[in-house]
Amino acid sequence: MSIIFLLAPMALILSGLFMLAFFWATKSGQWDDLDLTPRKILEDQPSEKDPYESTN
Amino acid sequence: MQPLSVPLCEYCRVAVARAADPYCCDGCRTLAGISGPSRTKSTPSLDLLEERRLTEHFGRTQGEVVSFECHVDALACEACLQGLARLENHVPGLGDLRWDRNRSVLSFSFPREQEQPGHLGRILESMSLNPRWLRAGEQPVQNRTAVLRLGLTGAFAANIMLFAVPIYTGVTGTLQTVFEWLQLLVFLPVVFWSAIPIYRTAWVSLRMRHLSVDLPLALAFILGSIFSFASLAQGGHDLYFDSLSGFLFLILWSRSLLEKSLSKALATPDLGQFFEKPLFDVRRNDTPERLPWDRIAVGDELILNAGDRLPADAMLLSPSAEVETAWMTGERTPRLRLHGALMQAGTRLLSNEARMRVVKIAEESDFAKLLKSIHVAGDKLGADLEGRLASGLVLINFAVIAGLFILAAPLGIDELLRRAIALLIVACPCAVSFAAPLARARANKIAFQKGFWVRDPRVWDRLLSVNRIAFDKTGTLTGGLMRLSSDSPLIDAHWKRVILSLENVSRHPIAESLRRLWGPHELFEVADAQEIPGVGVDGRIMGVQYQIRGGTDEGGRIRLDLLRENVRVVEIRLQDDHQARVSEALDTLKRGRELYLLSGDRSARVQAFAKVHGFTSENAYGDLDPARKAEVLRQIAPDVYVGDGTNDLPAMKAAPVAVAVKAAALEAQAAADLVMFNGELIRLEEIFALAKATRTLNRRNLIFALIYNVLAGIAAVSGWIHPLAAALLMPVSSLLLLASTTWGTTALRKLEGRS
Repeated sequence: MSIIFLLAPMALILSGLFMLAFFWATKSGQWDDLDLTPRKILEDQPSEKDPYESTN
Repeated sequence: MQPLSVPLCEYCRVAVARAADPYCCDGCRTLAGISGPSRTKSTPSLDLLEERRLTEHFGRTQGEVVSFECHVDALACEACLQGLARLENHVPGLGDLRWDRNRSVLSFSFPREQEQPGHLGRILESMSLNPRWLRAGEQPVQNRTAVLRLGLTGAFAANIMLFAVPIYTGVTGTLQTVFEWLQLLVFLPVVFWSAIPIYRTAWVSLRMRHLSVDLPLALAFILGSIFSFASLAQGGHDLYFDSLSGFLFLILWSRSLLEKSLSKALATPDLGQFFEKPLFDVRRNDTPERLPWDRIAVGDELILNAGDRLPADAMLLSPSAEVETAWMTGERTPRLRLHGALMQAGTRLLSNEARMRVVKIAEESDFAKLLKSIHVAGDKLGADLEGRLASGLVLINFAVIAGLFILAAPLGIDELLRRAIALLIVACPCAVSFAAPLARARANKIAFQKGFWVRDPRVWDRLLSVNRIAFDKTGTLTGGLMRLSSDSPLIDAHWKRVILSLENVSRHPIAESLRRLWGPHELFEVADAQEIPGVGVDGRIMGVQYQIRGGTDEGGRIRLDLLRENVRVVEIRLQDDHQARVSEALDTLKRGRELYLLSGDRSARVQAFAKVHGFTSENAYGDLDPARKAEVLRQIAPDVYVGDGTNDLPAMKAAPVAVAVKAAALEAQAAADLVMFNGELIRLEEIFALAKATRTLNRRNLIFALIYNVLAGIAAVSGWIHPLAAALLMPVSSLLLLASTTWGTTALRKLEGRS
């Protein structure tokens, strides 16, 4: 039963790590735009020459 | 040297004008009366120069008014909004106070040269509302803290539950004590950080003397926490860490769910949705391309097909085209445009393929301006029934708890506290304050499908019983296409060509009618073409100066003269063609209602029009200038006024519900509560039906929320539910409400289907 005294802090540390990861993700704007992000993969890469801008 | 002492306002610490007065304005006097002098004394006062700087940076000047926007995040409940609405009556010059729930933005305006944004900002700060100013076009930053709070509170609650479940299943002794202290450890960030929004709204509502729904929640949270801390310190086992953290997570989650559905319902369509087509055929430097609307540039040649909306302001290259400009003129009748005519974005092509040259991109067009003006609208702040009902329920909760403590004292303090906490959690009337905004948002969406932009959602309450409708005549019921009067002289083909060439710069109904009457013609090149509003059109053709001048003749007809070097060469007489559908609309709207006709036109013509369209002669008023029109309107006191907004702005402002039938003038939109963009007057009847259906939905939602509150309240007071069960039950009312609004009423579904 005394194993619980090891497991409980481990569980707390593990969940603390997940919370830190969540904290980082939120602060770096990972959830800012959940609706449009999936569409971005369909758009042209900004590094490439923009075909619409180039002709003018 | 002794610094010059300037008397400061007791409330907001701004320098006061009169030394004898402790407050700088009535707003501060009121707020100080409500909540006592502010504690923001350490911050420096704003002087006139700082007000000017704030105005320069954040003000948006529109005519004689400067408007401002600031992002605030503590306005979670309707009761707080109502408290804030009172400011409009007290801060000098403050007007049009609106709350955009979708963006959490508060907007307001001041008359020019009387701007006091800093002053208002200071008052908001002293109410703990933390305003963050937004520049024109700036969007508030996504509220990441709210996401973080929701996520971390969920994690804390789950971890607390992890240590609570073994205790519920029988763990005793040292392990139980350890688990209880571990629960406390994880609960600390919940009580000191996660619950901050609840404390803040409760505090704001206390300062504004409103019973907000967050008040019982904050009380339950604080009471439960203190009780649990004390119990743990004394070696007891009556802990509510699991219930409180679970409840907080669920309330944050259900609120974010409701807010999200509300945001979705309130979202106004953007330009792209209007232009409908994903890609347009464009020729750029003689190369054909297919581009989305926002990639089209000035100078591009556009090729549109029948039914397409023009995605930019453009000049017609094809010889002629038939178009519909309902968004701007309220008229769905086809209009003829000839080569070289300028057409505005949003115009719909009716004839077959047409080519045009882009002269202004969509973002800079009047169409975009119109949409933007609707984007910034938000809800006008004001007291509402639901806010009062929520406050009433909170008061009842407190009364029930007081009664419980008095009447059921023998149960012991532990049991009483447990029941009180369960009641405060389970009977929280959060759903009540969300019911009405959700129902209204749905109504706005349906109204949009019907061709109406709702600028002020409060119209839904005001349109419930419409018994009197007043109409402006010219431009609203008339002003459509005209026909040649039977006594109009015959006109030579050459003069027709001259007149059409000159009128090609004009969008006036007369010009539209002539194009329609005479059909496509090859046009002359016109130099210095110029339209003089209210007078006519000027221009030079092959070096000769021509003028077209309009007026009315003794028979009430429109007379048009073509002058060649100041000598009249042609005379035309036109008659306003009252469309059959105006009569049809008036016949429908007349049922069970009294209709009034107000016009600046001559009384004889107004009476003649009234006779034809079934207005009684005493209900038709002619010869009214704009000020007199507003005066007559106040005497009649109609429920709805329908105008075109070009010459009846005072009348629109005086009416309880103002409907603008045309969207062209931005000033008219500002004064109107409803803007019609498809010109179908008859649809007003559907809007009245929609108001009634919305009330039915709203009532049903409120009844659901009330039944839930009463049943859950009885269960909590009787001790049938533990605070943990209460926490789990609490979001039920929110979900029930969401489902009810999504499903709608039969009438709403019917109205939606008929669009």
